[in-house]
Amino acid sequence: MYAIFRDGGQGVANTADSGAARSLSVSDRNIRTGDLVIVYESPQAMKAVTITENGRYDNRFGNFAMKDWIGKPYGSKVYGKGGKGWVTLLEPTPELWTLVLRHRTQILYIADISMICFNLELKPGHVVLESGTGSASLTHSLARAVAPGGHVYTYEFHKERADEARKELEAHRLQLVVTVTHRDIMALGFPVLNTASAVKGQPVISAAPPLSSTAMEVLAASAPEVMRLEDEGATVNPCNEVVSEADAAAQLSIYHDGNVDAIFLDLPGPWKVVENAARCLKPNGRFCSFSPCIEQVQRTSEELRRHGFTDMHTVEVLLREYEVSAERLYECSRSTGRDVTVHEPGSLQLRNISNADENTLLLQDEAAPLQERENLKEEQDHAGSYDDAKMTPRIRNHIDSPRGVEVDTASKADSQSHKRRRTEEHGHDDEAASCLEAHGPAHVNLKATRGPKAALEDTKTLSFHTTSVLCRPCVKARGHTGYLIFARKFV
Amino acid sequence: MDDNCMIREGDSIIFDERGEKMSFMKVKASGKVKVGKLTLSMQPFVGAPFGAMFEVSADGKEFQRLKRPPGEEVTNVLDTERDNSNLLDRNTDNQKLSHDEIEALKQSGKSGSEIIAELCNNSATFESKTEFSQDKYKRKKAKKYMIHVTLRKPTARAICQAYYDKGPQRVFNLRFDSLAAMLSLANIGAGGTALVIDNCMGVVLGAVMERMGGHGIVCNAHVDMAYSCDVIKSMNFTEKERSVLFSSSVGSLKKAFQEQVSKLEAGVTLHSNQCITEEAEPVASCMEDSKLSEPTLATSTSDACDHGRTANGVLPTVPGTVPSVDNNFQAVNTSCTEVALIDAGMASLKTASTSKTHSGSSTGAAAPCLLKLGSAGFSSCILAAPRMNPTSLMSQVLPLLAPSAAFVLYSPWSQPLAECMHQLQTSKSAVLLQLHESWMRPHQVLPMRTHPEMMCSGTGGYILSGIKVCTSDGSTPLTGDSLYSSKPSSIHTLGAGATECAPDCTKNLPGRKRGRKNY
Repeated sequence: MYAIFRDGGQGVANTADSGAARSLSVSDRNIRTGDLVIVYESPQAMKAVTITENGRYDNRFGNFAMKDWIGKPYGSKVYGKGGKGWVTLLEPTPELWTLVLRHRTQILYIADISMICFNLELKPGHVVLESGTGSASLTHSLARAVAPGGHVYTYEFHKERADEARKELEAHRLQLVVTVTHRDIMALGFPVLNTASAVKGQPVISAAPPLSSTAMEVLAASAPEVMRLEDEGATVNPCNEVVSEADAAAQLSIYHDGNVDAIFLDLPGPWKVVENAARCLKPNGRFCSFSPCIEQVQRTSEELRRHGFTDMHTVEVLLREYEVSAERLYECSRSTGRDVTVHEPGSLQLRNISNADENTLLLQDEAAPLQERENLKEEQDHAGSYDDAKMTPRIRNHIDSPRGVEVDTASKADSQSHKRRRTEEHGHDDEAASCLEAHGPAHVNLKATRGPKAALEDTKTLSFHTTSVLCRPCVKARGHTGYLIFARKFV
Repeated sequence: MDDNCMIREGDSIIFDERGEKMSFMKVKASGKVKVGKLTLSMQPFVGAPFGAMFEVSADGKEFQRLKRPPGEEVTNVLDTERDNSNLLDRNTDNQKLSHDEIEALKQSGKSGSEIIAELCNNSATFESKTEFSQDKYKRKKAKKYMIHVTLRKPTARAICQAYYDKGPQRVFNLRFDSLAAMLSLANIGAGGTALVIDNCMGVVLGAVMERMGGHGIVCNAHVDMAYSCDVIKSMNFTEKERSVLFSSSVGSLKKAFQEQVSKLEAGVTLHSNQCITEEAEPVASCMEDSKLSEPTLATSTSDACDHGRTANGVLPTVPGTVPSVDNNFQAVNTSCTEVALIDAGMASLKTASTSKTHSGSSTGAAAPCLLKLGSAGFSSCILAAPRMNPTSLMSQVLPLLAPSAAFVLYSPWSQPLAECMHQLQTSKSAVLLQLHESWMRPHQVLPMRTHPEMMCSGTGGYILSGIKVCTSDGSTPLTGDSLYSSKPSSIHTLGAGATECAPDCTKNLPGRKRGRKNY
């Protein structure tokens, strides 16, 4: 629900349709005071800010007054004073939030988050338990999946983090969909009333508030088997308080006996919670545990088998990123029967210039504006900047070492011809661009070029190259995040 | 919202036979299902919960409910000293029981586990095998001699998984982890407005509708011919969950949007609220009014088998063609209920085709539903029609999206997506463009035998994701901005690209390009 950070669970949980109506009208796609906005400069530089009347946002591209942003639609480019450039204002989504949030703990990323939401078969109306909350990266995605009508109960054993998560979720207007509780799940398990042989040796609901007699009556009517409390040494504290039905329901709502659709665990010792989890889940309910180490996976699987789970499967998922660029590939010359080598002047050699020495120049070839432009594709979705001091082309996401195009200058003739080409850049751009438009990026773009040296040596030799858009996997990739164990409660 | 967890008469299930064969089925008390050579009654299924497991009784006459998950006795291997140095593979000679004797055992009514015990006892090599090997042998025999079936709930995940395992070419190798990533990257959530073009049997559309849960809008779009979306008929969607769906051609949408925009500009205010009350109504009317090119199973004309739970499906356009109602993932397993469904489906399709007349105005089709959308555009978009060139498809679809809308394109091939991404970058129409491939590795986890699975999927397809941005400062998305306008300045140098946005910029001088050294 894209309005999750704005109307959030509030509008939608109360009256399902009016919330939807609000979020669908045109004006709601505009920025308002108090909204959370993602300020986008580049894939590596994004920041979440809250709009205030007098707020300012300053970065290297300019000084921005937030009041200029109010009323603009999300997705707008806005320009700062100082005329140096622009930033783009995006509407927050759980995915964007995962990329900009402040890490209090190691977080889950999109590959795992999406697998979890999908494999737990979440949909609006479901109830899901999560432990631990951590930085609430996954929590936002869970909230989106189960709202409206559903609920996320998330537990965090670290008190400050629990408080911070709660505040954050309130700021994102999700407090009706998500309940953050401070509780040590590995020690106590999720709160359940039927504590018969629950987490071994521990009274499960010692931290729970007392149950009113109204609530006890409701329990007796709806779940009589849970009433064998004294026998099992449970420590429910019935008190003789009579409360309203709504309050009784609220008291009982924190207990999860058999009414949970899905459970997610991100704990160091998830096997300790398996039995308790089995108690919370509805039959056919789904379980997921995320563990970085295979030993944890093994122990958890063993426990799952022992406690009535079936359909266990363990997977790892990663999103492998590809980078896209327009590259020039040279062809063999046919006219003279000689191979045209790539070392002739005017050719390009790709090298990592992180240790570039001073003698290598960053040169441009006739079609280089197009080429470089493509290699610097991330530049294009950067904020605009006319700062000449920023010279080194930056590379696609997550790769730190810069890569550039450089040519070993072979002869003086080259540098002169290169200078000539540089001043004619605009013209060449038009040429390159018109080629692009004429043939489209997909098509082979045969463009005869004459390397100057070739021109000197042999006027009959033409070097042909084709410029195509190519993709390849990124060099730097994530190796491992963790194993996801999925299981279903046998029914 | 209470999720139905018991199978009712007329519900669809995924019938999982031994974990090997999956098929869509409608459960009827009077229906029969074929398992191997046996034909058994479906009666025990009605009233059973989703996910229930049954096994074929020893006499092969009926299904019996399993009380415990099968195979839970996993051997905890204790002895690791044995090895296979003395074992000789003599094909079938190692098993002393002949084929006929085994058949006799089966006929005699012995339970599956007893048969397996007999087989182990009569195997020449069993005792000398390592414990791992013995375990594996027993499991293999169990699969063969004990027929377990599971009645799975037809969720998006189960359906996607089933299709990927059994009929991947029909879904263009869309694996469920890719689909999961697509749903997240496109920001699909209840209350949003999603534009979906789905040529993967409706798997993607079904997943989106599931996430919507009856709130928001899902537009099942197509460019020329409508695609077959049979899957959504078998997902047990409630009336409310189905109400979010409407279908339209991209051309109609564009026309309708432009009308909205011109109305807005003319000062006509849109009261989206008043449409909400007619929620159920407009959808049905949308589908009935739409062009003949989109015959649908209207909610009112339920077929004989259906008890008000058939989802609206979009069937192939060409009138008179047989809709590819393919309830199975493998070769057609004609149980009586399925045949009945197909017949009934055909009947209502014919009714739909003949009774609906060609609607003159294409905008009439989408208009009531689009009033809900306003002129903002869709907030999410998933395009899973790999046969369409992504670049040209995006040029049609992008104007229909609201700015800051998340979009995702799926293709089993990376090159077309790379080209589309390149075009989107150079035209600066989108940010956070990413081309991903979802890599998934399943693991076998057993005591002392944990390792990645021997058989693994090689590909799950590629995903291009991004977020649409305003093409120029503050303009609405549908003012005729062509995505691929051939203004040279828009494709050119980085500095020049800013001129259209920053009128006060005077720094676009030759030679002073961002990112290049001056020399």
